[in-house]
Amino acid sequence: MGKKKQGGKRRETMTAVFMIAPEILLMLVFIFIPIVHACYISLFDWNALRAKSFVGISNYMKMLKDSTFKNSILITGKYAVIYVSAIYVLSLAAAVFVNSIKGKKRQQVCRVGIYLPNTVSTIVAATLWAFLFNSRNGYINKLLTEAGLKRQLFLGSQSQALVCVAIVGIWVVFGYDMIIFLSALKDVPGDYYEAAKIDGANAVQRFFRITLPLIKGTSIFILITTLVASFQVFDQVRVMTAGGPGKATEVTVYYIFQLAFEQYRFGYASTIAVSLSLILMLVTIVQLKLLKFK
Amino acid sequence: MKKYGVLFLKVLTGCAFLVFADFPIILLISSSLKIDTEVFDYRIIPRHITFDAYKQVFKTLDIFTGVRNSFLVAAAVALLALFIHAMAAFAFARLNFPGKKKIFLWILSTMMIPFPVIIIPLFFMIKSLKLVNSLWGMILPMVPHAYGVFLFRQYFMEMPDALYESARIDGCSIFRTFTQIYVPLSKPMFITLGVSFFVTNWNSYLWPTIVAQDQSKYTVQILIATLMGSLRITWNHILAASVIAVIPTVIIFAILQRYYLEGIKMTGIKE
Repeated sequence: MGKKKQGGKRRETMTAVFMIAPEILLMLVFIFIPIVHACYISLFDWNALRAKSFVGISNYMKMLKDSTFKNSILITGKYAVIYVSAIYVLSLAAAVFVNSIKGKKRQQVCRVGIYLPNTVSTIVAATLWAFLFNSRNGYINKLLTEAGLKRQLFLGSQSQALVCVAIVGIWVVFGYDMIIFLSALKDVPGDYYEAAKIDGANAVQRFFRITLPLIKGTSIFILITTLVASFQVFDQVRVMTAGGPGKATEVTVYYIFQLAFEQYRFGYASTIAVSLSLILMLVTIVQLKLLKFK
Repeated sequence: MKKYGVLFLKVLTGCAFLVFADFPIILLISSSLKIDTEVFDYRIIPRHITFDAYKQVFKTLDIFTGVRNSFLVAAAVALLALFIHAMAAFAFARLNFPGKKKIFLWILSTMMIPFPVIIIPLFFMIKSLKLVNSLWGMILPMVPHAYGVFLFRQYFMEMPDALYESARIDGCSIFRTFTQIYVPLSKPMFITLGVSFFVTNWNSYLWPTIVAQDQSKYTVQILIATLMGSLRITWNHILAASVIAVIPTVIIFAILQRYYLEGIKMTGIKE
């Protein structure tokens, strides 16, 4: 009996190993080894012309003096602030709005209507908004002149380009986060609102005193995930501005892409990639701390 | 009076949200149906409706190859990922083996890695596997995904223990219990995650553009991005190509809306 059980256990282990093997193997090859390799390459001077040579941390020292890198971090930070705050406010507002609609059918129509941009790829969205923002005869400029306002350069302007690029990301993602907020709002018990109403709380008070604290977990989730996403923005920049005008929209991932796949400076590009992930980790931890202690 | 004020405000916000979300899409479709010289004409219903741009896109661009490549990549990732994740998740949910917890934590830890950080070593990995400029090079690195394992595991763990035990007592092998009982019972989960993997990969750009080196391996997204990078932009062509790139995801959304939205809610982990 005991022997049979032993055999069964061994067979269970064998089956388990067999079942997790493909996933583990793929993760090793395509995630874990590349992470280690990225750190390793970042210590080398390595480009298309010269042979790979070990330079230790001197890539990192170079990076600290690289004004293009510093600029790219600043641009990424600006982008993150615009993107995260706009998505948080818009998706929450949209969720509260959809949730307040009476009638299931109408609610569904609005939900689908607001969600729809999320089915569009960032490349197509960037293309579409570049069309709308076209400085010569784009739609938005037409509306502006129609309203008697001055036409704007948008993507051609140092001060406006980053906001235009951010709008694309916001447009694609806010419907997605609305759905998450909506399911959190549905979980807030209705009696809470009834009780508050009886106590004379108005809609604004009810929102800030009841809704917001009760969906805090979801808020934190959305803020963290959008922050992480904002540090990885690439597609829109590539399609709409190629980092310009000047370096006004040159975010860090775009800089990494240029260094690695246009200038073939793999070592230095890896240095920046590794640093970016460290910065992101740090910012996420700070953000978590701030949100938890509030 | 006050009631009407609130109602008015609500309708106004509703319209603002819907216009911001959907007006660009309407304009995308309508502009793709306009003739070259009227693309920037701002009427919503084109003065002359024409499919010229679409015809041109099919004639001058290899859009068919692009769509086919996108489809192959997205479908292959989705199918492989479902199979591999479900299998691993079953082991983590139902079986006992040494190191189970530790391995699972390692898998979860990969969620913290921002993808752009590993593109350079990943490119060399693909190069050493001789998969540069191949669809497999786009597919394989996208398959491992901690979230897929995590969500399948949750799903399997919520199914009653008795299900597993009775199948085993009846003499069903572990693997058959998985394929014959757990897989059929998890159909909604398979559809939900399958849709999500397919759409994500249909829409992705950064990795495919690194792997693809010549036109025959371009996906639709790469084609459109390349058009945008050309010197003279023919807007109605690009917009027509964009509509073609959007159609599959919109159709999937229309048919499988319930699963689609369910998948999003699941990612917003509930406490």
